[in-house]
Amino acid sequence: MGNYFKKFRLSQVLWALIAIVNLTPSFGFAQDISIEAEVSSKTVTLGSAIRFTITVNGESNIAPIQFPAMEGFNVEYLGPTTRMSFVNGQKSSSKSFAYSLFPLKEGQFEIPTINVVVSGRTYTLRPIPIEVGTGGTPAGSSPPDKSATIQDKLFVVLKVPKNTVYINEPMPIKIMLFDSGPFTRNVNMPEMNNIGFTMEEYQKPQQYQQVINGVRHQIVEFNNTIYPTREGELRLGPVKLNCNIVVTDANSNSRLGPGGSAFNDDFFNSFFNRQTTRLMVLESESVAINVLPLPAEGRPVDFSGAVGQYDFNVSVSPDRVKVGDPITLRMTVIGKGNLSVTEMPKFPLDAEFKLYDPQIFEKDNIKKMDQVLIPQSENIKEVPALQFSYFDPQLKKYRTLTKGPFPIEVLKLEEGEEFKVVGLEGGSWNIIPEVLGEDIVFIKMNPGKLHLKGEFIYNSRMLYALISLIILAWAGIFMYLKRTHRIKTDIVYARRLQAPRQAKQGLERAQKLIVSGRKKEFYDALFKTAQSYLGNKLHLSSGAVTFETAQSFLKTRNIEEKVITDIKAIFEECDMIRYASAEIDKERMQKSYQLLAQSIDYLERYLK
Amino acid sequence: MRSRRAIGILVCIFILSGSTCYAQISVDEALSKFVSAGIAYKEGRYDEAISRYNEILNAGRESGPLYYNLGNSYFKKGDIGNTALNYVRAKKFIPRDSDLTFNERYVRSQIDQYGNGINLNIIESALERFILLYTIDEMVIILVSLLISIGVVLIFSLYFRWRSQWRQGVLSILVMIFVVFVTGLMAKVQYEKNLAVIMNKTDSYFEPRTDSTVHFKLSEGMKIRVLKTEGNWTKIQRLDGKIGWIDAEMAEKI
Repeated sequence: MGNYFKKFRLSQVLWALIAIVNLTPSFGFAQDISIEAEVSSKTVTLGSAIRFTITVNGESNIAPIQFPAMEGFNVEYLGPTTRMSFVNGQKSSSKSFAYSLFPLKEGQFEIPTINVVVSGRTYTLRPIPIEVGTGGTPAGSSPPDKSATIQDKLFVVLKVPKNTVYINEPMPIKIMLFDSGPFTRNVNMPEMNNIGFTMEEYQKPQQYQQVINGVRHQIVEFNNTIYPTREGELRLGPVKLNCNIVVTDANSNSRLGPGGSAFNDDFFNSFFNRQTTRLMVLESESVAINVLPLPAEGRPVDFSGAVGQYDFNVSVSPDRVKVGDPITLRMTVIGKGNLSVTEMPKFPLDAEFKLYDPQIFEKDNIKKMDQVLIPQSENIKEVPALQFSYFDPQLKKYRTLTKGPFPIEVLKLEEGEEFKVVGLEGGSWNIIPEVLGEDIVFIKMNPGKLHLKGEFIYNSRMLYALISLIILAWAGIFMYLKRTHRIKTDIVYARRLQAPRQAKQGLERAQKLIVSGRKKEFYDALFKTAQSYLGNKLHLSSGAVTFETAQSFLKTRNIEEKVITDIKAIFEECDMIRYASAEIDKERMQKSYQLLAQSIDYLERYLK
Repeated sequence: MRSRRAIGILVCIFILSGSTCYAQISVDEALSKFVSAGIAYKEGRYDEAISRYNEILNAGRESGPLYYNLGNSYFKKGDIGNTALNYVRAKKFIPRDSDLTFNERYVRSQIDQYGNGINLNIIESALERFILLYTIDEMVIILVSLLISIGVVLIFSLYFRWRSQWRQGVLSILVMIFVVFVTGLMAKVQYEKNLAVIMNKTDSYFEPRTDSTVHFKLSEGMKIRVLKTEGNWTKIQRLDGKIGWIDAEMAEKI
């Protein structure tokens, strides 16, 4: 058999066939453009692929050529190749489009006629016959009863243990990939049409080998459990399985001809043959499943909806508490079944307990429920019994498991103790992850202050007026306080400041005395005014101010000589009138007054 | 007496001339349009809502919630450029509004960002956060209050004879805050003066000519700075610092 196969290969692996197809352009013959079609081999076995190339010479700006439907083959476009060359200054270019042709069944086929449009002209490629043989049988030899297909070597089977189940009954299924070559790689998770069923996540597939009808198969097995969710005749599957298969390009690398050489044998063929992977979508047959309803007969009132085989446990802790203290009631259901639709037993509401929302946990084939009970009275002696009912599909009847009652001791509260309101002690919140929606926040119903455009405080003149007023007021108050403070603390400054005011008062009094004609009092007032003014201004003791004492100070302050002389005259006249009686008329009094007023005025301006 | 009255009248004219004659509709009319636009929005008539809100704006009245609602309406119409523009305008009035902040972030997440983003140092980042926290009016009010406070503290310190260290300490703090707000105010005025939003996806060129080389891309709703405008071309700066020229109609100043 092996020798025969080798002969077959040697005879069938022809020259790498270059079928330069006679082109029959539809509209005349293009002078510069020619088209060639090339196939790597005219014979191929199932599991191998051949390469078909269309080359357009003389034109490189061409869109990929559409390959027509081809019976018995799966066609995959590999891509274009552009070649450019310069020979003797002449530029020539060509573009090739490569396709991989993968046979799906044994037999005689042909690459159909292909029309290629280049630069507005249509070129027609003639059909090329292709012969597909099986890996173990030479093509063209005695015909088998039935043509072999790739599906005979690579297929998927959906297996179910039985075709009649009850609703919600767990049913294990197997999806098996049988592979007797070409070998698969990167098998994806199956996709199954499971309308009317719920199913769990696929587990990691098992891989093993098995000999079936004398052929060794590589098997990939996916296991899962399904639960029918509605009654009636349902169909499970088909199952689609995406995988990559390893394909050997049937590339007759030897161009030496059938006579061959030592290299033209299987070893060198397999060495030089190129292996590529190719995506393959396999599909299984679907399976009919008859889903029966659960029997109404014997259905318990508290039936939880569970179908399968289960065990039920209940624990109560602590069993000795005070009124208002929490008791944790834990119910556990263990078994094979659809736990996600199984309802846990409900605690009777008429019991004298305050109930908190239960916390439910589910993992693998265990479902737990923790419920906090608060005993309201010391008369409670037990936590009542709890029942869990389910349907057993093997026994085809309902079963009820009862646990309890559980004796507990509830102590009376001591005086001063109050009821405690507590949550699930030590438990964790059952936080369910959620996907939040995304959008903008709704509009506002209150328009706020609808003011005029550009009407801002910062560009209002009122603001600038206000700021100016603030600064002015601020500066004014500051200066006033500063002055007041200096008056209080700086005696020289204070005396200098009050000198003109006191002088003014003195002069006013003197003016009145002139009018009344009281000469002595007038000169007395005039003297005191001069003495007080100079004393304050020069920071001298007022009583000690004489012309002589004042004169030295005035001279150091660069006061005009005339003013000093006037002051001297005033002092002398005052002394004369005050201490010796003399005839003085009002005119003279007025003159003395004027003299003092002018001197003070001058000193106010120039005595710093 | 006459001259005093004349001065008084002039002062009043000076003060009141700040409020220009913009009002074409009363507050009540604007309020009525605002409510009817809200009803249109609720009922999914976004075109009508946009039209109503724009009528208020065209009549010379504006507010933060008005720009916010207009931005929402444009968003529902899928106009990201106008949405971003109106949210930025709303931010001038209601910078700390949580709804606006949320919506602005959401819209920003839908705008294609190019380049390596904006790299700000700590000071720039703090200044940006600071100037985006207050409106210009709020800053001005705070500055005026600080000015009054400085005066009051100074007068109190003199009147009640505070210790010199106390007075200097309090005044230093107030003056420091004053300087910070003055700096912030100046930066904010400059920031808002040049800020613009790209209304349609466009390219930025090296030169103000369409046959010039494309420098970088700008996406709809992206914020940019306007540097200057020459004819139909505007020189802009993307927030990552890249500078280029775009068609002036592609950007809208806030």
